[in-house]
Amino acid sequence: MLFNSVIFFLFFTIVFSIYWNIQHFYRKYLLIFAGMVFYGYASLPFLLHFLIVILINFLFHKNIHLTKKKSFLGIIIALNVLNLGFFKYFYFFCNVLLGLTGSTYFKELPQNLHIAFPLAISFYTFQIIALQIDSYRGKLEKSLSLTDFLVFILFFPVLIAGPIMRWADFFPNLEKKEPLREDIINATYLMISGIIKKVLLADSLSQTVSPVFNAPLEYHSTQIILVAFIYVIQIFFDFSGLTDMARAVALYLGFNIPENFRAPFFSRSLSEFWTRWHITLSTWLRDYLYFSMGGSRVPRLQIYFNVIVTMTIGGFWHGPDFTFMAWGLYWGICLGIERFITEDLKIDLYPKKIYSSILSALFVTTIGAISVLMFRSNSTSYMIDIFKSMFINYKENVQISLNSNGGEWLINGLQLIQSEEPFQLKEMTNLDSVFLHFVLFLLAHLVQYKEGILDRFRKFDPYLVIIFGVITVFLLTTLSQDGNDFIYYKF
Amino acid sequence: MLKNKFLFIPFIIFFIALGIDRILMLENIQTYFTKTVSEINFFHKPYLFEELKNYLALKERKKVLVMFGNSRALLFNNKYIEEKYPDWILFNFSVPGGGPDYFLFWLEKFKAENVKPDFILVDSSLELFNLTPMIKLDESLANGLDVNFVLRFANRYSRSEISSFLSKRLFRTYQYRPKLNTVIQRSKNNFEVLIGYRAWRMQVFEKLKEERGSASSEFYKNKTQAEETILKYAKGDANSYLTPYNFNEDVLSFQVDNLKIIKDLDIPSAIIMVRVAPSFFEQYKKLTAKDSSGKSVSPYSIYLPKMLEISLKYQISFLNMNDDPSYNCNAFTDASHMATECFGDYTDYIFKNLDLIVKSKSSK
Repeated sequence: MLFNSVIFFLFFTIVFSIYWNIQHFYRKYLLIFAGMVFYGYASLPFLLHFLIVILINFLFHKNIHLTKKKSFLGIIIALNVLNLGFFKYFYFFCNVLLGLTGSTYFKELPQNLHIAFPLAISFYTFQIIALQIDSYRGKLEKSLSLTDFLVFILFFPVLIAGPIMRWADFFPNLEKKEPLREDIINATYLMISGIIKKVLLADSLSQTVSPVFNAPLEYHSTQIILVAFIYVIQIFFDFSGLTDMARAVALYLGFNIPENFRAPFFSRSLSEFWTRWHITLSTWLRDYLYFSMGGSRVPRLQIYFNVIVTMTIGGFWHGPDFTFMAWGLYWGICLGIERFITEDLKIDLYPKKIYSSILSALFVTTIGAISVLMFRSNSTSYMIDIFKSMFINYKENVQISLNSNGGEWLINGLQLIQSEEPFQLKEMTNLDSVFLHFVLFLLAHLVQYKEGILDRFRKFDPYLVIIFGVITVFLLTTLSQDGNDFIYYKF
Repeated sequence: MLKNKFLFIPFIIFFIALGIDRILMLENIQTYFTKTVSEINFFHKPYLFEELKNYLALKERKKVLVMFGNSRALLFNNKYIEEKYPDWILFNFSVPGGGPDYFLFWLEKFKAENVKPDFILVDSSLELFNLTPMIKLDESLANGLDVNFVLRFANRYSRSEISSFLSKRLFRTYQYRPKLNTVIQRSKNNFEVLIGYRAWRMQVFEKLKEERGSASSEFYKNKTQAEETILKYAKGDANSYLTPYNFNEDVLSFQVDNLKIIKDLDIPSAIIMVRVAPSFFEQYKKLTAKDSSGKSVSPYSIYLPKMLEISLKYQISFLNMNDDPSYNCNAFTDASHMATECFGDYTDYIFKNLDLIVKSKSSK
């Protein structure tokens, strides 16, 4: 159920209308039921599977909280990782084992076994693991009741693509008994922002981006480099829009859930970038993986190792492919190098002057743009092709390559029958609209960077929210493209 | 909620937007930006149904043929029918993109009000039985069916179809998007284009009333195109509507329900697979699809046995104009639509078979 679909609109209208009309005591049960409907709409068998996963985790949670036994924690983490690994990485590991052993068994097994991918398994697995570790670390005052456990894990606004919540983020909201006027207004603004970012900005950019990614070998190298930057804008609008919508839906129900983005491309360093981009994932990786490996309280060399391993696992979490591992590894190495230069060599890479801040942000964006080429690649060979295309897709190169392979006759023949250059590479379309997207990208960053920048207009909220709301509905109905899923839904 | 009136903010936004949508879709406003007249075919059908009931109630009347089809069956010439088949009158319930669900929507009303014409012809187009075309026609879903019908048969539609249906019904501007460029174009030269477009819409509606649902071939001329052009269209249409081909059992269920109602009403009838360009028909047989056992076969060899099976089961003839050597008119305006010059032969084909079916039924 996409947040911007009419089915979700109807579903949420019903939930919202009932939620604020029933007694506080019953609201948890409504949320559990709504979560089950939301998840079951995608797949009933997987809803059953999800409920079993929750129940097993609940039993372990009780034991871990009571006994604080590390072995219980180890078993339940292993079970959750196995569950995720089986559904998400089965085919990947079969391929790896096939490559390593050459055994036909690993070729035939995936052909005979069809494993579907349960919705949201990556997100809920991380959320559950966080809860179990927090229980073990004694961060929960008391153990959760089954109802609270179910409400937390089945909370539908964040179920599919996060933000990945902690119990501490969620719990205080459960106590809210009355709706707040400013919550409803803020939720409406967030929904407007989410719709504009996702439907009007991200989706329209896909018309420019997708043709290049579908056939990178046909485009000029400069276009490949340019598309990487455009894809940065698209992925930001897409995921930030999705997060805004998720936060809006939660806030309509009185739940203030964590932000995932704070002007990431205004960051002045790579490490700052990861405190502003997909915040709930990066803090999860830091708190539950990096710190568990010793964090920064280990010898220097091991710190770099921990950073690289953490980021590589974070990359692999996104999808069962070497491309995602490469993406994580790349970020790990970049962060490691930055740390080495700034902490070991004590060189100030990012002086805090305005011009150097802009240069730093450009550097961070460039590193991000290179990374999204890996992120977007759907196979290793494709990833290699696209990186090669960044350097060799010049028409002169085609001619040189043909000349060296005895293909002069083809060049001469083509020059005879057409007056133009015989080899032409494609150029991107709609670049004029990309400029507008870029300006809005900067504006969106400015709003996230300078919190409270719009506060002076807040006295007109009751009017503004309705006017902007109506305009957004119209922009949505008249300008939206059909059928573009959220990029982060597939994770 | 009443205590906290601010909870109504999202609803206020929704209802204001809905209200503006309805205002924009008023005839005098929507004509600034809409570009099609095809929806008028749908809006006319309730009038046609009333007219049909009144006509059937007359003591002295001609025999009534009701046609349920799509754009392939819109251009019948009533004058031609009147002159050549004076005992018959055609009420045409065909609409652009009309398929078995839309036919069922009307046949249920026929059954409910015991409307019994003398013959019913039901179209069966192979493309409409494809579950996975690149381009899915949703005109009858968006314009023709009502919410009650779609919800009753919700299990026969995909989620994206239901979602698209609800979106387009809630916000008509989602379907007929107001584009500023169009508004500017329509406003130029003292609203010349706008006035012309409005007149055209009026004329279409009047003609549909006059011709009892047919878009008169005198009004629309489907010009014959060269074979090479048709060949190009055939390849394009095959890509758009037949690739990949997976037979849609839910559409078949609608068709089966149609035949059941016709059988219950005891009305002579036939299923008709209207002629398409031979080059397009070749694609029916040339393309590959997977049958239920996973074997590679052509779309036609999946579709045809199923049609023959339901035809046999309900004892309703299946007229296949594509495989009938007695029909020879091959003038087409595109791969899927006969040119106007073939509608005479097309009409003759129908009445020749209709006569045979009626005679054989009355002899039983």
